[in-house]
Amino acid sequence: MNRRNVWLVFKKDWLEIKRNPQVLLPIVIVPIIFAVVLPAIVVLISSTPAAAGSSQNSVEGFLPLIANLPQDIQAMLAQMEPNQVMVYIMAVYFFAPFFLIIPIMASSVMGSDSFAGEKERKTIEALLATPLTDGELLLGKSLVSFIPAMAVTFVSFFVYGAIIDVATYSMFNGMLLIPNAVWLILIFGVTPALALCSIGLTVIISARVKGFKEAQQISVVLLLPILGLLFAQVSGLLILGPVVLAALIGLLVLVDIAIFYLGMKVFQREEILSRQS
Amino acid sequence: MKPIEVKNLQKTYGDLKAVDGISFVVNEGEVFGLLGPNGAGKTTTIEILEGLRERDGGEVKVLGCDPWKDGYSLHKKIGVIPQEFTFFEKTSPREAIVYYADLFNIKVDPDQILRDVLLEDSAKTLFDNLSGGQKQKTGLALSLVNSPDMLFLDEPTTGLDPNARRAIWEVIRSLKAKGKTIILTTHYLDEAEQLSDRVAIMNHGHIVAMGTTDEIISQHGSGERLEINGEEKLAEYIKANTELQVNYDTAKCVISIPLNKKIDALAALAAAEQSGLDWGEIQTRRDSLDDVFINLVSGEVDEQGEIVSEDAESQLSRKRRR
Repeated sequence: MNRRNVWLVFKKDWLEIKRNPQVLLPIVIVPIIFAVVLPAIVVLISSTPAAAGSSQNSVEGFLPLIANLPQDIQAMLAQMEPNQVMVYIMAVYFFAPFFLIIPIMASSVMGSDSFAGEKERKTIEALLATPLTDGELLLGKSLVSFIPAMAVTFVSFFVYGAIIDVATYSMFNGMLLIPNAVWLILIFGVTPALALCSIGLTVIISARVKGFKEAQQISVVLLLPILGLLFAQVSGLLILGPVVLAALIGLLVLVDIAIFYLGMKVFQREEILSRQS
Repeated sequence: MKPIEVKNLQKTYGDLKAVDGISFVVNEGEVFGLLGPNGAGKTTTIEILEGLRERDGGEVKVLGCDPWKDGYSLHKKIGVIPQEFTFFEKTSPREAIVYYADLFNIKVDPDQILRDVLLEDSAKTLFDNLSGGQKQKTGLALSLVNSPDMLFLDEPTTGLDPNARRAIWEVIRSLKAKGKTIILTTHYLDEAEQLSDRVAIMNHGHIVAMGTTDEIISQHGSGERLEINGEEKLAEYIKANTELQVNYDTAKCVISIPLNKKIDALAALAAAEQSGLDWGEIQTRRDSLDDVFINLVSGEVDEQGEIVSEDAESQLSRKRRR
């Protein structure tokens, strides 16, 4: 495999994506919501004078989650004011699964454009008659979904963490809530594996659908397991701790291998041509 | 060794034989036209030659390579315009040439290539804003980036207006003049006649005729004939009063008389004069490539390459082939 060719495919697709607001807007707007609006909620709570009663009521909603947290965290929370507990739970646990949505959304939007969109526009056929191999095309196009998706995820995480820490610094007497082990594993371990999963599925979905929008709509089903994780965490059924996240990474790596094996089978010259005609 | 050698080539999609045992060679520096209606097997054939499809049977050599096994190295030596060529819509022809040159890992003069395909005025126009003819010229420009000795042009003028078609023809002629070997698929008979040194007419996956257009016409067409516009009674009169073979086309009201000797025309006209019946326009004519093509593919072909007069069974078979 020629890395230079992979880079050329990546560069060309990225230039096209940059010129296409239909693709670019969602991958900018959604992370802004998660990285800025979510911490803004925390800021609002932390800056509101202690309305002990209402905070206490809200904390009660998180009790199933708190009951399943590690003992040391529970002991720490027991020492805190209700207002602090709420901010801590929201900033550290409640909002974490939202950050799994960013790589899925970004990689599926860009992957749908790069694979199904190119099929729709019939631009890939001209590239098949160049010295590019199928593998170089697949890898270049996968990277054009993966690298920006990861960049958006990491930047969102840093912005989120910075806003949270600045807003809660005095409330927690100088303790930084973000990053912690859970967030680091989540952002640097789970999200890349999840993005690869999303890209692999987009390759397979793109082979079966007519165009960009259809591929994007079907890719949305990938968000369902994430919503499941969110509800599982809030209800206390499953806490995204280091062990659970490590298991999740292992599972996703296996799924990634299987999905990319299938993806390579559908992304072959003759298959691509047959689907175009 | 010929630049292209094809023996008993076969390709099947499910139970449909898209290419059914065709054989031909293409000589160096010639324009070889693959002619036929949509679904005849032209594009499948050209895609196998380009190394984009795997054949099911037969032998194929392109510039000494097996196109499927050696496809990637073959692509460095050939130029290709796929059918309905399109490119990244936010890219200009000049940017596209530079990108292709990068893919081939070579240095080129984009402006020279743009001049070669008569596209220098639209060098910086985004692909999306180019006319149909300019888009096809962009395809031609890209096919020339690696200075190939062999070009595959798959229906390069389909859907273009007459002026744009002629502009593309001009470019193809200039490439031919430079000694390029060109494989051209088309369903335009005039295009094949104008550009090709030799033509293979394909139908239902077979080559039904091959050679120069003159050879095809002489092999598959009728010889010279006299045609007289008149009534059937006149045809019967000429038949009864001469030893000539007389045919009558009731739909067109045309009397057709094969001319074995030049004097046959005089005999037919003398009989017509003697009949005292009215008769109109007279002319002598031979079958054109159009006539031969219609006979060979059992129907006329419209602008999009579809057969417009064909029996229902053949239409169904052709639709399945696509």
